[in-house]
Amino acid sequence: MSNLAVYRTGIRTNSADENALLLLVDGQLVAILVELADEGHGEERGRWAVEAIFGLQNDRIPQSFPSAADATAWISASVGREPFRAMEDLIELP
Amino acid sequence: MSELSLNDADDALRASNPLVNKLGRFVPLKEEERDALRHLGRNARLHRRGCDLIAEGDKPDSVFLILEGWAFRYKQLADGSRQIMAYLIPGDLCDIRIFMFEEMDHSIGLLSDAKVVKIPAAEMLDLLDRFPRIERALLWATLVDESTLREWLLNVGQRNALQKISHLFCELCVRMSVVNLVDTSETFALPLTQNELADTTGMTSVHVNRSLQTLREDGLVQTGQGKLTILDFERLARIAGFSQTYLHIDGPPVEQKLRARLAQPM
Repeated sequence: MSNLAVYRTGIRTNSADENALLLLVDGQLVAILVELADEGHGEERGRWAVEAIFGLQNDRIPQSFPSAADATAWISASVGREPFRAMEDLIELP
Repeated sequence: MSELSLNDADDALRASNPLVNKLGRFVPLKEEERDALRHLGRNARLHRRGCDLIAEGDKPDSVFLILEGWAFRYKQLADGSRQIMAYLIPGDLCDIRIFMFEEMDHSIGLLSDAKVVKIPAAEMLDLLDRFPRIERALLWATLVDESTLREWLLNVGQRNALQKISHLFCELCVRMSVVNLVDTSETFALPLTQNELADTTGMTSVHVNRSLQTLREDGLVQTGQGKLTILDFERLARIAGFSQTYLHIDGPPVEQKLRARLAQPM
């Protein structure tokens, strides 16, 4: 059983990038991912980026990922965990 | 290094050399000194965006002068992360005694196609020997490069995202205007991608993008086709906390002001 947990939440970026995911490992927040929804992102629009990471010091962060699942998989790999598979039914934080 | 021959090798000589405009802000130049600086530009070559003029580890044997286009100083980590430490715009020289280094500790690349003069070390030393006022003007230019680097360090380390981008834009507008490259609508060439802005300011390109969007939506700047228009310089400068003091270009040439100051009784 993976002890990586993923929650949906809103994020205030002062742009149309309003959807975020919180990634927790062993109950501790390690990353905030954000959906690039703003028109200003051009070709990057629709992809996911790492908004912030905590406690990871190894890899250079790719600019963006094709999907939330890809972004989550990268974080999982960075913390040495199995990829998180249940991306469909994530818990939504208030 | 990709190089293209110029159609007319004397182009650069006849065209006004931006180095003359720039150095004239520091030391009032005599006609023979202006001629010597124009003469420096006689062997300009066109180089393509993306190539390095010189790379970290290379042995430098000449000084580069940018006549057209933009270059940049950078250092790279093993994982490919890059920090941009300076933009060189028309009229800028890489360090005037760069050839004194055994080997380069950083790289100088091109942000746009650029017309660049490679001045051999011997010619540069000869120029400095023959024209002490040019040497002093270049010393001023070096001092300003250093103060600009300090300002960039402050930018990377302490200002917030919006301030970082705003401050950079204010500085570039002032520097480009010194070499007459800003038109009456406050528009100038800005050959930078969001990635390059990110590597300059220590932000991600997503954060650069959001800051640019905010500046555009607030009616402060317009961007497009490799150009930047500053719609409201005063407001942008206020957001950035920008003061051009560190560029030392206000009023009469700095050397005149220095002499006047030193001549006053204590």
